[in-house]
Amino acid sequence: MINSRLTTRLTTRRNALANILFGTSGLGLRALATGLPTAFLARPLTAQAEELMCTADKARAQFLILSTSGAGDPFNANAPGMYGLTGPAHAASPVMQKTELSLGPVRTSAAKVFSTLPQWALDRATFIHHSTLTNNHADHDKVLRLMGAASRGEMVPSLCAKALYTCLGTVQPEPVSIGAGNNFSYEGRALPDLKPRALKDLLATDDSVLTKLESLRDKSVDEMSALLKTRGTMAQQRHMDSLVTSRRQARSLSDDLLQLLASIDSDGPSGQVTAALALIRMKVSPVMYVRFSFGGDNHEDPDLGKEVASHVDSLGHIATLLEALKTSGLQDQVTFGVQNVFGRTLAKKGVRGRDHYGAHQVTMLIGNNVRPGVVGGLVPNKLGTDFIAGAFDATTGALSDAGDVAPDASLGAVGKTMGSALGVNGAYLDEKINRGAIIKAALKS
Amino acid sequence: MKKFQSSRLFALASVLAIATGCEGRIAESESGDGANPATPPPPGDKDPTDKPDVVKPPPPPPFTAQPPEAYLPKLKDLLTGLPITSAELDRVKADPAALRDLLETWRGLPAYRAKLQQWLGQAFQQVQVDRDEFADQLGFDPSNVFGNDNRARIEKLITETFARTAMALIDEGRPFTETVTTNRFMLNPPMMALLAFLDARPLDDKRKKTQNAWFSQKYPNFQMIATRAGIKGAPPPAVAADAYTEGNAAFMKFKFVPGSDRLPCSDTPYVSTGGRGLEEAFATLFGHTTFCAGLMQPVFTEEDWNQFRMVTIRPPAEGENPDVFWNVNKFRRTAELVVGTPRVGFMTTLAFFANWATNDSNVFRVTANQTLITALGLSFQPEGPGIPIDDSNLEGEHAAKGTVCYGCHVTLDPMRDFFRHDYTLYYAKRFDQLDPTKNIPATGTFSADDSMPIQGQGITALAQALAQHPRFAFAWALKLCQYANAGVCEPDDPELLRVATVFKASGHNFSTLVRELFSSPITTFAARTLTGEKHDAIVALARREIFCDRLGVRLGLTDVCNLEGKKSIGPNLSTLALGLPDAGYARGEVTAVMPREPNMFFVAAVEAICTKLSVDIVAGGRNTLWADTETERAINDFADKLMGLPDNDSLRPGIIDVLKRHHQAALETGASARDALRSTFIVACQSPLSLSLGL
Repeated sequence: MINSRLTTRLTTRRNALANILFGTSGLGLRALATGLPTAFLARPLTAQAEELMCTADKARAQFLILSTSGAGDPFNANAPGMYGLTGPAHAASPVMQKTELSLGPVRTSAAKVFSTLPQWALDRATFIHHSTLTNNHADHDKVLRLMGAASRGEMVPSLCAKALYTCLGTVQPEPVSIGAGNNFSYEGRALPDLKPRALKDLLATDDSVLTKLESLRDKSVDEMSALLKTRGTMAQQRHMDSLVTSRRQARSLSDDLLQLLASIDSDGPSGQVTAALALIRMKVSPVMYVRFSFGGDNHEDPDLGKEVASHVDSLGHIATLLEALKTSGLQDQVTFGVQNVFGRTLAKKGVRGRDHYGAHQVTMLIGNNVRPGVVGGLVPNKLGTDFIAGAFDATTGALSDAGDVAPDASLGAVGKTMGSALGVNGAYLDEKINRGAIIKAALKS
Repeated sequence: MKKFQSSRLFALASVLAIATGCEGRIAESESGDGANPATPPPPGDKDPTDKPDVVKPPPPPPFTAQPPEAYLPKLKDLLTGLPITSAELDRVKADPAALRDLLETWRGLPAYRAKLQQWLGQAFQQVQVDRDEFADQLGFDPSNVFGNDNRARIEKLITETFARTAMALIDEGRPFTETVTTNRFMLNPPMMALLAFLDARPLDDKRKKTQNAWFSQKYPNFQMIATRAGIKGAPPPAVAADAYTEGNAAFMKFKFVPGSDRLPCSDTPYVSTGGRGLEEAFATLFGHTTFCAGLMQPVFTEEDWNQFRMVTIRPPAEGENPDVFWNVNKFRRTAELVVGTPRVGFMTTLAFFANWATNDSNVFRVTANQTLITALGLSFQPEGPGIPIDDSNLEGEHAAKGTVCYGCHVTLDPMRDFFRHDYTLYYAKRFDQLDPTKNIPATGTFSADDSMPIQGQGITALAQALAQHPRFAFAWALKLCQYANAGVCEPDDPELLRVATVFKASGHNFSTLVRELFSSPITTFAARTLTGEKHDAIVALARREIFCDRLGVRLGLTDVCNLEGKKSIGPNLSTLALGLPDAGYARGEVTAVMPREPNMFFVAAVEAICTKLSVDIVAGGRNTLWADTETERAINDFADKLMGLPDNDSLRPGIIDVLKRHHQAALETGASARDALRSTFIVACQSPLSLSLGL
């Protein structure tokens, strides 16, 4: 039982937790939560040195929770900026009706369901209309790599995580996928998918007899360590000490964190929300991937019913997450984003469904460094059969044929802007991303 | 090329260059933890009693030689996952030289082969396959063509192919250098069909699907016709006997039942031509068509999937056509596969290519660098221009003279040309190397670490150059040493050089390398070596594969952590096991990633695994190995198997006593006999001996 175990703890758990997060045993704490190879531990100095640099403005440094999917959800179809045109199809459901919305001082319109996000969050939300240059599911990883614009084929969230993790003092630089799939990489290594329930299994406890015998086992293991130390070298003794320290750290998680972990009951969005919150509170990584559906691969979606239901569910989960962050006092330190492999057609099939569409996508960012508003917008395609993302002005965000962000550079611009919204230095972003400009219109000055 | 001076200099250089986003010249691997070398004391620390004109050699750093009780379990565990026996410990205690005989014995155990195959997959960078990059290389969505079950099978197959190949070369006693030059691979019929298919339907630099010229000539107007023959849920029809017989009326005509009702499905036959037609024909071998997610009986049988043999892959002779991918009957018996796409060494496998995808900006630089890292333990690093053998191969936009990047590209670009000669950016056969718009130099150039520059054309020339490189033996001795020592081996250690010399002198016999290295004090720490002096006896956490293998092999449970989906026990431990850090490799990194330090997630994951396992295999679980009445036998087994303590280990009585007292104390808390024994199992399972390597 959680509480009975906690009562046996030795000293101040919060201090112990702080030690876990910020490190009293050096490299041991810089290992993984997720089963990734602990590159940091074993890597030669070459890679460590880059990672050790804080290449962000510490005062502005943000954690990122990014909802991203290779399904190519129709997130682009009903977001702010999509209701000013005649042509794009929207479901007849009341939750998809055009609704006036305030994004800070900016008045716009969107599907009504977007108004379920907390107003304080909408007041720090930007919706960037752009192209991802692909309509292929399998290019999800490439979109995260900005279709070749990111240095060394690194994914943008990984580039940002590398720049941020020293600034934020996280356990590891590698992003964590929390049930978002295993489509992510860091320095060429595939990242495993940490299911929320696995996190719960890992750290939360129950009230079984075996759990109640935990302290007795700890004592026995300590006795064994003492015996083994009698013939151990210094290095072996240090190793056994670090095992003991690690075990004590695991025993020292705070009450409310354990209860939070214990409340995880699914690997779906609700579990992902809880796990993301827990991992950020534990400062495990600067970047967490989650996956919220907004209708998925809805080629055949009569009356766009799946699209409607998924929007309601997922925006509800996002609202829950944002409010939980606020309750934890983390709303100014965490940026939430949505970005998918591609958007979906807007007008082509009406409300029968939507096909893949590389010509329009909406990336949403909600964060303390974000200037609220809508960036870019739509123009008719050449055939007049649908709409595509148009060029826009990076400074004003206004749609403009003469804009300095052309559609084919917009994905790179979004990557840089995401980094800048997380507090990453502009010079670092310019060095790592060779296409597009930072969209100042999406950032607080 | 300038000779490498010290690992730390290179580390510093790379720090500088990473800031520029570029790599530069070739660097050697470093010791795993980047420890500082012993530095002389500052003048103020000098012993005042020293005579001013007599320089005393500094005293050797403290070093504790390891007893057989410490190193023997480590070595056997690394090589087989098994615990040592009393007899083995007695033998080595009586005569440490007996270790070499034991190594020979262990090499004959099946568990050794499993371990070796696992390591070879890692060492040749074949396992961390990016699914999407693999799909890119194929040119289709593997789930559609293979089906989801076969997709997983194919992905596993490609990650294992080269390890199987290297194992076979070792078994044959071939020089280990042939892992770089071999055109013989361990293949099964589905893999042969896949390679033949990729050869028939290559992807060009823009990923456009084309038909190989020979194929178009032999099968003009090729088309595949698929006709619906039932509704979803009906038994999939068998493929007609003559569907793959050229000239027959049934040639390339198939029947299917829809596999999904999500997609509209027509009764009109589906006709597919061009590159897509080949894909559809290929999919039928696996019982699929992408039309209506259709299903039919697969051509490949279970026996086909399990039938591996060494197959020589060679180009067609003059006037000869390559093997067509549907010739399954040939693949079931042949020892030769005729395809135009060169397959030479570890660096041309589907898995290696899927690990290291290139693009029109990178143009094989990553492929060349990872090849260099894998074969020779060298990587391109910044600083200095290296040897500008011929800078006409450089791409100006990436390597303007005077920039830091120049130093990298002047050496790396000529090497990547070997790949450009033979492959498109999607690793298919290249046909346009002579197209002047492609700007591909006629020859590539390879030189590394002061070696004589070698010029040539194509991947075979590069393979030969790598295999002949003087560093090959040292590189592999170092790799194996780093495996044994969780990443820590001093490259300058004379003992390592000795092992490498013996390996080379044996004609690069891998078994000799294993024997020399694992009987060497550089891994046993039974005597002083430079590595031991600098790092003490290496001790590390039992990383994922070690921990899971131990549990499986020692308890007789198949895939105990369910990492391969073959679990033989009740609880699915895979999600927890994925919480354990594992060995791996990273882009641009010369040294394998070898986690050593435990942390709370590791400890928590192990505890959770042990707890779930105890419920399943101890005292009344579904796969009970010990009844709650068998306390004595169980505790002895825990010590023997889980903790690897033989009867004659001096610590065993004390450890047994701890376990027994734990069992008794648990009973005294009111726990049942079942729970007391389970808790005792967990103690053993999470003891330092079970969680560590090298205690």
